[in-house]
Amino acid sequence: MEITRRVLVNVDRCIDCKACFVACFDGHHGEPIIHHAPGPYGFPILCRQCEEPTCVAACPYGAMERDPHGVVLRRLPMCRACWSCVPACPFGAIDAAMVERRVAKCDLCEDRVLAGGRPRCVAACPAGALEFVEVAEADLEQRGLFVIAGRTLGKDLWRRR
Amino acid sequence: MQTGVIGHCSFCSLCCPMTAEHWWAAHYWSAPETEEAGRHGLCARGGSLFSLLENPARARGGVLRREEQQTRLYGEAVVHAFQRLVEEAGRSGRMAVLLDGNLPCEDLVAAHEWAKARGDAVAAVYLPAGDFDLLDGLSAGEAVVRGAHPTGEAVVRGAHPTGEVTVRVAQPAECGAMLIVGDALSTHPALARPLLDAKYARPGRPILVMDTFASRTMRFADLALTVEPGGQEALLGALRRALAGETSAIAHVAALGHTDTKLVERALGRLASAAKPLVVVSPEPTKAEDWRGIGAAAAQLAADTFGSVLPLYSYGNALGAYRVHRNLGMPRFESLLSMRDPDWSLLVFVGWDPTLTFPVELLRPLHRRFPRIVALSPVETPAWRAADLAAAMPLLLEYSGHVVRRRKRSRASLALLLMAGVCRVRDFFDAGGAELPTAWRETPAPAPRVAPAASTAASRGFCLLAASSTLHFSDGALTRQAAATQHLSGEDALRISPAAARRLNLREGQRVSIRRDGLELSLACELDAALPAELAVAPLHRPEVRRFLPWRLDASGPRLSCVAPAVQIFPLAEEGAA
Repeated sequence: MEITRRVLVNVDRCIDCKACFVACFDGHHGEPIIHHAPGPYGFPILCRQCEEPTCVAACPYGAMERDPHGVVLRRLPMCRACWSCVPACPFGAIDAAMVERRVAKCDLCEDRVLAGGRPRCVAACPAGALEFVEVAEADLEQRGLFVIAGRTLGKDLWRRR
Repeated sequence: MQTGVIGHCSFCSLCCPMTAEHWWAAHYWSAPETEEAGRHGLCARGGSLFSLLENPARARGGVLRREEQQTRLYGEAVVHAFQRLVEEAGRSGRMAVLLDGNLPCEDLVAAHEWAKARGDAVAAVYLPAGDFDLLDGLSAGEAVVRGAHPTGEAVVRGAHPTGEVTVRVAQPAECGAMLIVGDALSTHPALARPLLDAKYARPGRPILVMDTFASRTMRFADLALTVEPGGQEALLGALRRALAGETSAIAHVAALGHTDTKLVERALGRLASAAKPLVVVSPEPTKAEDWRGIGAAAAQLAADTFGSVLPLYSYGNALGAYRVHRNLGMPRFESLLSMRDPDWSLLVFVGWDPTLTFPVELLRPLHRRFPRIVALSPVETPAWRAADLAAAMPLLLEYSGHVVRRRKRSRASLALLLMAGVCRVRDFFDAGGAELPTAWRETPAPAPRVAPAASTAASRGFCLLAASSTLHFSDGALTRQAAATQHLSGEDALRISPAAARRLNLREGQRVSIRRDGLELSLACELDAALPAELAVAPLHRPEVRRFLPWRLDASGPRLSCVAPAVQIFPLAEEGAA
């Protein structure tokens, strides 16, 4: 069964409380696998679980792969921390610090989602800034900022302010 | 499965309900893994508070603050400043530095390390006793909470995913405008959903935010007013006058809020035309000394504009100081009160001095023991009166985990001003502050100890102290404790010594009448062998006790203080017989 829902970040609602980070930290045995955009008004940057992930194509060791459920995972034993995936991700969702420490990337809380739940970060958000929803191609333009990548979103955020 | 609300989150005054699930009456279902947020369903702040119950070790974990380089710079600056102060004192002997617990953790750590290395100095941290007691009580109470349930486990969860809060928010979706005082979305994350829902349901609704720093809440504002600490009340007053049509007040608002006059004019125009404005007031009582005045000014503004007020007062940021105290063994300032070393030479207050929080009587030993006293604080405080050298200087303080940086000058306030060298006292004091005594004065003679007033019936005369219990904030009406932890605090009773009870022919649990100047208060009594015979201690968080006490305004501002009054105690049975 492929997971078709995705985590969308509505930065206009994010209060930067880092509840998502803490929930992720707790749920993944103390390993933070999402990170925040720097700056005074931070927001979480999450993996988009691309259909054709460039990080998988860029990994020379085969450590990145897209599993049958559509979730892009990093296999830790095979990772050599070469940082190839860091510039390959167009959304800035893989942080260099995460690779250096060889921390697993966002797995969309596969264990909970396959059991019918929501990812931990979505459940923990008090402001409703994180949504776990079906995203159709047609919705992408309509949702505008919601699905723009972290880096682009960051620039746009500053421009709009 | 049954689900019921068994208590409320005590972290902020929104009081999110916490529910418990159980199959049978005595069988609590414990499965934190199945809880969606994994944080008891509470927001980040409430979850962190409750996690102290779950895992007290978290309070003793690492201190995570600013990046390493800044830490080093600040530490050096603090050490340098203290070194210079010792030289200024010009005397040998022991020195004590009392640091406000709201100072950044790095400063506390640096002062502690400096004192340890020096050997003849003590650095101690002070916070309102209730802050320490609360955290101590929560840490110690974990075993009691677990032991209270038959299975040793319980699930307590909040209700924020549903957006439900106990305190009714005054229909933010219906209000025409919002004025937020303080960093409401950070201090009360559960409020974020209803407020943001209201904002995006009607984007034209104006939102004004005022705070002492560029807070996260300001991100959502149409007009952000960055006010100097302590200036909120004046700004609210200026807003009132501006909304009443006084055109000159607009420039005053812009000046106080450090923004442009045209922006203020435009925002006030929208605010004045809005129906039912909502004023959200969320200063932290442990930080904003004038929080009562801010609340009163906000209420007046709401009354003038036919709006409503949502008062939110929350627990502050004592956790950083608590961690330093527990991790590094940095002493609490109260330990200095019992020290008997005769060779103290200098006492330095840094930040808000304890006179604002602690009963004056308790602090007198400090003033008697130290021949020289230095007080450094952002504004004039009562400690200045007894100080040999007192000065206003900008200080970095932590508000809700943020380091407050005022405008350009104070961005580098403590660190760079001190690192520049404290060769001359006037160089590192803020020239824009109050009139500064820059020369050493002779130590004033210690004030005579104020004894309780003579009682007409000496055998019934007591000195009444009011104290917070471990799980209550200083004002129980504003923040409440979770029902799950209520049994930890015991019954609210008047504590007296066994000798006094024998003298009055009282037994434990008997109700007594406490009388003072025509006022009367009734409480059950509890025997406490640790108390002196002439002392009675009442629970401060009880509203009737607070009404009974003789509060008065401090000379330094609108903060209330209370000296222990002389009271008489009568057993109620004896009164009936009479």
